[in-house]
Amino acid sequence: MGSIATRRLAKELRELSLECPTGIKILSANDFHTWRLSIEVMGDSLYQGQVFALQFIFDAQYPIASPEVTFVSDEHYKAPIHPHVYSNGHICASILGTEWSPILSVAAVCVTMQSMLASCKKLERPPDNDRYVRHAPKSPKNTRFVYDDDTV
Amino acid sequence: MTSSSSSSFSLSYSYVEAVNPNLLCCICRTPFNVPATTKSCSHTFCWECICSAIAVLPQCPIDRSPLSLEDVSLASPIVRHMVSELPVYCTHRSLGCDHQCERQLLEHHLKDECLYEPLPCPERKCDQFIKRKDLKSHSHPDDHQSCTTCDLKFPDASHASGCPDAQVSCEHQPHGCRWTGRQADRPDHLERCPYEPLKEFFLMNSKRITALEAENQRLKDRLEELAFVFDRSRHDVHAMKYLLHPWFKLPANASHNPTTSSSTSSPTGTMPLNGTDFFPHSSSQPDEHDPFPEIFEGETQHTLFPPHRIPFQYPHLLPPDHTAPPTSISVAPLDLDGTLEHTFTSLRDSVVVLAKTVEHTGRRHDIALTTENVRVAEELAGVKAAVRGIRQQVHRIMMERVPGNEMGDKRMDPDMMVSGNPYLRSVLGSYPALTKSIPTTSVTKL
Repeated sequence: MGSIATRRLAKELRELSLECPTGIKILSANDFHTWRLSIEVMGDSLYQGQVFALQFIFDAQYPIASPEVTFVSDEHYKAPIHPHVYSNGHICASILGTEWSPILSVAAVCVTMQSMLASCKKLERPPDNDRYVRHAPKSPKNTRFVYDDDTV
Repeated sequence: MTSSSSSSFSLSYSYVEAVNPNLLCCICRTPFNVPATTKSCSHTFCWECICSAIAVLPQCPIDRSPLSLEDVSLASPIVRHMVSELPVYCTHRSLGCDHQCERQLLEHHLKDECLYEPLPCPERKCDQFIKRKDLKSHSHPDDHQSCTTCDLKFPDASHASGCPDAQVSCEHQPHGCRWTGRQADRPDHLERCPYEPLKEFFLMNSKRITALEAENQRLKDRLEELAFVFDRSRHDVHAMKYLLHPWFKLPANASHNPTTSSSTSSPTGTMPLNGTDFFPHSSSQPDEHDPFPEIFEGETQHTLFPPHRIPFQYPHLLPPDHTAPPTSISVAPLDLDGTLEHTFTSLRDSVVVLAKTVEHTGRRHDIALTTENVRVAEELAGVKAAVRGIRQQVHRIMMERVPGNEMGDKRMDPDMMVSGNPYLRSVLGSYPALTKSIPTTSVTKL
């Protein structure tokens, strides 16, 4: 773990412990490698009442390189049904790929996900969901997504 | 630039106060470390943060505008100073260092001051890092236990009191035991060593010797001190002897004291002048110091003549014949055989006698003078009568020679004649004054 990454994550964790954005809670953050946060869409939306879990996996290059962010899909949490979220939890979002910027943070990603879910009009999986899930690499960062939807 | 930035970047600062958010790098979320500003969009980051960000994606992390390393330069001095002067705690605060200083001074503190800074082993013997405060007590196990006699690499418990194979001598060697042998055999030897039963005696003896040496040293110091005092006193005695020279004598009853006589014998030889050389007759005429011992026997207590302070003069500096003037009056020489006090007393007696003599002589002179005065006055009266007779005769002669009618009514006053005649005036003019100047008071006093 690089010293920048460690310090940066320590600072983010301290800030999140003090004050989390509405609807976001830390589930587990026991090291500077894997964090889990719960995310709930506030207000009027298709996902009202549902709670999802986001998993962040950081590498030594954080925050220069983007973290690996997926929705948790296991016996407790299910990935939200969303045109940009595959059933295995992988997210097709530009800010997690080419559009990542070092100034973004865990809280910023969570808030972006909240807003992505809140703006969803229709509960459906991505069109190539089954094919992608079958061949998907373990980390979504190894996927070359094509970001074609500018509406979300 | 990059090397210095990376070296200081390795420090993780702990800031004393909350830092203004404007001074935080949005990449590492900490206050700028070597702040760098982009030329194109004027965003500021840490130098290392923006460099690594550009290496991954050549665009500004904030506004995503294209950016290359050439577009990044050091931030303005004001920004650099603001972050350099932020107060920080010492990195080793958790270890116990309470130091806090400006951020730019922390490196110096760690390099030169901080007692908790881990430093490499100063002798390069081990890979440990030792806190600066523990450096002095740092030691290596093999500093003490490496065995030079046997081949043991790691000395074990058997080496706790030295190698068993090492050649040692008996612990009573200082007392005369000549045994040498293996360290392991020494206990056996000690049982047979003839010096062993005397161990307690040796111990006591050496203690006594130590005590005696200490006392000896104390006595030596005291002796030195006393020698110094003695030297000073001897110097004073020399000076006194020099002043008292002719009168310096030992009390007759002190001659049996060897210390006094030995200490005075050598200084006397060093005296430059011997007073008795100038007074050869002083010993031959010891009793003639007072020529009038009986005359004023009863008047020695003279309150009119208090003891005079005799001005000091070295007797040997006076000419030898000073005390013997050529007149028939002979003055006795100083008695150098008596004590100083005796000499002073006799001198004072002489002064008293002299004062008496002077007073006596003065009275005799007064009487003689008064007698002389009376005689002179009588003679003067005779002369005056004679002069008057002569004057009358002169007057008569002049009256006879001058015709009476020519003189007319004019009466010739003899005084007028005298004053008119220059010759007579010079002879007689001062006469009346002479009669007046005779002191009648002194005559009546008699």
